[in-house]
Amino acid sequence: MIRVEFEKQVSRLRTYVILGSMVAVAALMTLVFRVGSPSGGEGLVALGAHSGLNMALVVLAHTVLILPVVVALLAGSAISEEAGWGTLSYLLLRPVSRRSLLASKLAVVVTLVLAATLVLSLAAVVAGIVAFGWHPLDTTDGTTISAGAALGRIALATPYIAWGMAGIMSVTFFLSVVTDAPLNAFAGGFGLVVVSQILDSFSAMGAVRNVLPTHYWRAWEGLFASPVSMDGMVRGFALQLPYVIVFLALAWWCFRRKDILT
Amino acid sequence: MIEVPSIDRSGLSRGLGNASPVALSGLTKRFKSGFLAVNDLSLTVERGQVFGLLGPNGSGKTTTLRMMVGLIRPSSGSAYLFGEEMAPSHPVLRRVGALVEKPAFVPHLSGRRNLELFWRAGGQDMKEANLKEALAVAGLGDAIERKVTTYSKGMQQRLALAQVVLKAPELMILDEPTVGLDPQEMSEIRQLIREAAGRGSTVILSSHILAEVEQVCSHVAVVDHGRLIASGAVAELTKSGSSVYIEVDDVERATAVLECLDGVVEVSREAPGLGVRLDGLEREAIVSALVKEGIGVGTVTSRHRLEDAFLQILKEEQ
Repeated sequence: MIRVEFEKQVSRLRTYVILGSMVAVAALMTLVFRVGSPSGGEGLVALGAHSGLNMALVVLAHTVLILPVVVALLAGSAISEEAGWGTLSYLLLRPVSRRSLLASKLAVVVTLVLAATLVLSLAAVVAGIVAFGWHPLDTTDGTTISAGAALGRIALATPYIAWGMAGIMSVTFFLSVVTDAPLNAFAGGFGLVVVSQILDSFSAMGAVRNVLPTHYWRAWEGLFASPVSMDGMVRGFALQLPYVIVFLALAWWCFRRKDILT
Repeated sequence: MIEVPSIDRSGLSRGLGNASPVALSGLTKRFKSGFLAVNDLSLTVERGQVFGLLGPNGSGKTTTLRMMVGLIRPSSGSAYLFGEEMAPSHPVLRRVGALVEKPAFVPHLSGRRNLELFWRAGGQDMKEANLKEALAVAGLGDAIERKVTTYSKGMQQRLALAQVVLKAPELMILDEPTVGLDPQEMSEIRQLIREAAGRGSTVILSSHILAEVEQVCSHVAVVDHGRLIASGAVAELTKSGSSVYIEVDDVERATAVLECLDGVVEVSREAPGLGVRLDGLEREAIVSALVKEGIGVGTVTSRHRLEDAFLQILKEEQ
C-alpha cells in the first residue's frame, strides 16, 4: 500500500516541481544577497553576506514563507485529491482497510515534507558556500562559531524546522479528509498559518501567542546564540504534539465513518 | 491489514458455500441533508443471475450499490455479500469487482500503470492478476501506455471494466456500465456481461434503460425513490401483456367507450394515443369494442408488466 502511494508521487511532475522550487528559492535568495548590496535588515538577515553559512541561515529563516505552502499543498491534497479524481472509491474497493490507506497517505506526506525541508536546507548551505565561501559563522552576539560546528547546528535545526510543520500538516491533513476539493483543504491549512502569524505579531495577544502553531518556528535560531539556548526549541517541539494528536485523531475518526460518494 | 472479523452474523447465509452473493435486508439510507435516498430495500440476488437494478436517474441505484460495497454506511438495514455483513473494507471485497458510477483513474498515469497500481493497492502481486484478459477487455492497444487523460469516455469506461475483470470476480457490480458508449461498445459490454455470467459469475448492474435490462438481465428489480416497485425474473415479468398502447382517430370518444368496459382498470392519455391498463381483458376485445362504436383504430401495442411498472414511474416523475 505504502509503496503504491509512493509510486504515485514519484511518477508525478508536481513532486519534482516542489523539490526543484526549494532549490530555486535558496539559489535565488543567495543570488540577491550576492548581487545586491546587503545592507539593513535585523538580526541574522543583516549578517547574510558574512559567510556561506550565514547566508544559509538567512535562507532557513525565510522557510516560514515557503515551507507552509508546500505542507498545505501536500497534506491538503492527500485524501481530497483521490476523492476529487473519483479514485478514492476504487481504492476502497480493494481489500484495504481505511486505516492502512490513511496511514500510507500520511507517511507519504510526511516523507515529502521532510524531503522538501532537507533539500531546502542542503541547497541553502551549498548556495551559500558557493556564493560567500566556507568561513566561520558570525552570530548576532558578535561571537563566531567554527564552520564545522555551525554546519552541525544547521543539521540540528533542519529536523526542528520540519517538525515545526507537524501541527499545520495535521490540521490540513484532517481538512483533506473532510473535503473533496484539495483547494479547500489547502486554503484552510495555509489560511491557518497566515492568521497564526498575524496574531503572533501582536504583542497585545500576550501569552495566547505561545500556543499558536507558528510561534516557535524560528526557535532554532537559539542554536546560534551564545550561550546556546534550547528553551524555545523544547517548547516548540512540545507545542506541536497536541495539534498532531488531536487533528490526526480527528482525521481518522472522520475517515472511518465517511460516506464515499464520489 | 485485515481487521474486520469475518464472523457470519447475517442469518441469511445457508452455509459458507451457497450463501447468496447479494442479500439486502431493509436497507435504508438517509443522508445528513435529510434526503431519503434508499428506503427499506430488500432483495436477494442468487448465484449466476444477471440482476438488473432498473430505475430513473436519482432513484437510489448508485447509493444502493455503494452501500453494497461498504463505501456508504446504511442508516438502517444491512447488505450481505456472500452471507457476510458488509462493512467498510470488508475482506469479502476480494471476491467482488465493481464499477461505481463513473470510471476514475489517477490522471498523470497511463492506463497500464493505473491497472497495476489499482491491483497492487490491494496488497496483491501482479502475477495473481488476470492481466491478459483485462487488457483484452480494455481493447486499447498501444493507447494503454498513454496517459488516461487522453482517453475518450468510451476508452475510460472500457479501462474501468478491465479493472473489474482484473480479479476475475465472483460478483460483478456495474453501475450504468454502458452509459456514454457508442452502440458497438455497448454491445461489446453486454457480451462481456453474458460471458461472465456464462462462467458462473453473478452480475448486478444498474440501468435507467429498460431495453438494456430486458436484453442482458435474467432478473430485475425496479426501484423508484429508493423503494422497490417490482421484482422478479425478466422472463416472468415480460410474459403477459398487462396493458396496451392504442392510437385512435377520436381520443375523447374512445376514452369514454373504454372506461365503460369491464376489465379495463385505467385509461390514460399518452399523446398521441391512449394507455389502457387491463385486468383479464384481451386486447382484441378492446379493438372490437372500439370498432363497433365506429372509432378508427391505428397502432395497438401490448405492454408487459415490467414496461408498465417502469412507465408508471416515469409518468409520476413528470
